[in-house]
Amino acid sequence: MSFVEAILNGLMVGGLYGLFGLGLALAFGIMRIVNIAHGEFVVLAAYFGMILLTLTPLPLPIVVVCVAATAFVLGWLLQLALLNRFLGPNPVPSMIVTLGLSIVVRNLLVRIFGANIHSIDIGPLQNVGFRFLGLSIGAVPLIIFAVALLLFFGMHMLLQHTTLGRAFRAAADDFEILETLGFNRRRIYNVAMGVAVALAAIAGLLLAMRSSFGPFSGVERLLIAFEVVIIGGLGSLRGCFFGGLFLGVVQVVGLKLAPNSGPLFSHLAFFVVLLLRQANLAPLLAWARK
Amino acid sequence: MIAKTPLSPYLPMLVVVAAIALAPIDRRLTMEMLLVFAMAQGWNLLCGYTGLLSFGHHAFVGLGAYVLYMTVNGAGLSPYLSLINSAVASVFVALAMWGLLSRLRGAYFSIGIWVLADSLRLLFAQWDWVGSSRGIVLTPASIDPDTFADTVFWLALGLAFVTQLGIYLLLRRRTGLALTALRDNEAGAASVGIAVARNQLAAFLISAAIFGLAGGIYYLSVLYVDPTGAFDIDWQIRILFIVIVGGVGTLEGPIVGTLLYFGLRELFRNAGDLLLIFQGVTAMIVMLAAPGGLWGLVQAKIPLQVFSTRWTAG
Repeated sequence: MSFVEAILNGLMVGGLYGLFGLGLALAFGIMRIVNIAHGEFVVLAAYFGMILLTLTPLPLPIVVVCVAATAFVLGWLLQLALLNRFLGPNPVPSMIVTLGLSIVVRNLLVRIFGANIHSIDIGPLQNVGFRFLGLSIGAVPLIIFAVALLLFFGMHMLLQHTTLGRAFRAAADDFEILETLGFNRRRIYNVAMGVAVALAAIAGLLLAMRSSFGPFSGVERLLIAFEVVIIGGLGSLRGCFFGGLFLGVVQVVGLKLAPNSGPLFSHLAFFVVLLLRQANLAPLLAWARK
Repeated sequence: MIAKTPLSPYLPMLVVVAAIALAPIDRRLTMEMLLVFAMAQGWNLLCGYTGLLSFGHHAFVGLGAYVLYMTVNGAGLSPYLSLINSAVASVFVALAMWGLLSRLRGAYFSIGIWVLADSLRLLFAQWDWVGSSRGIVLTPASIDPDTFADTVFWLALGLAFVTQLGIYLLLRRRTGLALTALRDNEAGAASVGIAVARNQLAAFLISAAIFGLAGGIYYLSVLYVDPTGAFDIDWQIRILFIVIVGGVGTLEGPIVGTLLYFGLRELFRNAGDLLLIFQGVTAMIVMLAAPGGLWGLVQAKIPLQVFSTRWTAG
């Protein structure tokens, strides 16, 4: 795999990382809830997809839709039954509750499926690819990237052009005004958490077709989602998308350089971005212009 | 002025320390309990009083352990004296972390420090000099096998005692009043001139030093360290469970929580990961039903405070 191919692969994985971040950013932007169990939902979706693919004859696209719908209901129920009790300016109680949930999900997965690493086999499609300018590009990564793009575009349309999307944005800005307009903010929150978890689930299932997963992969997915949100900026679809692409490229190229480094390079890139943000670059840029 | 209590905490403290020191108990388990308790109290100072929720304090457990191993194996120092290096290194790394995370507040801080802890785990797993992911064995020349287990136990007891006494005395000073004000209302505390960031930094450094020491002592006792174990998020989960379920923002809560945690661990000894599932469920239920934790429930019934840090006017 050449460097150019690594970068292309990174971009394709990065689209999914962007979706992870988007789910986390939606929940934080609208409900002020940091869902620590976000990564566990990502992994849960991969397990559920794997079960559906092996036990039922359903074709892959239907499985993706099934997983997304189940994830939506799960997120909706989570907000309705649990998280709506922890609304308010203090984010600590909801973080501890979702941390508790993540521990439960992670260890239930270990109990049921064991600590082994799994991967999703999608049959002959895996090997389909084509050559372009001397680079070999797989069909699967391309399809995955297209789906990620499509979901970002769909979220953009939802947020900008539907009543629900406007209600989401209003809830993020000022929920009191929203309630005087006759909206029930808790109901909007339920739907928003459903959408957030569904986005994470689709991305999790698609990622499982490219790389393996286990019960302990959730932490890594959560940390990546968090880095995407910080790099891209909260409340920006475009920021999440490009933040995800950046981290995807860094990670795939990093793994090419040091195969056992895991997410180390994306962590380091994240801290470099943090440092650059803190540094006062204005005088330096002015000096460079002279 | 500090509110008067009928009972001074010094006598009960001395009795407990004497009982732990003299009773014929399993010193290996007691040592672990004391270390975990000290860490819980340090984390409680940070989260319970200054409101900084850290999900990455296992970074200091691993750091304390690795710094100890590096100085003992590399420079041939006495392992007991090298514990000072664990504390100092933790404080310096904590300072650097503070600089890096200074723009991240609230929830961002919690996960930002988690990313830092994970980065340290991955870095140590890449570092050949400390055995990369295989870990390293402690090779001290100066360890006397006859007294080693007891010495480690005394160190743990000392750390737990000094932590409890030190934080108690700290909270009885003006600093304590500032920290308690911070705990109850951060904006209000800032508005009457309490330096929020400075107090948070102080608590962060103190907690880092305690975690570094505790990590050093624990891994000194096992004579082997590897990155997966030393930087394991389970350290953080354990501490969080103890403080939240025991009662966050009180000096008694971590004591109750530690006893509860180790009681549960003995109970679930043959049940494997059921203990973790139970911990997660309990933390959720406590947040739902009794956010003040078990000690909060006790205090709601009887206004008991063993470690009196409450101020009254006058």
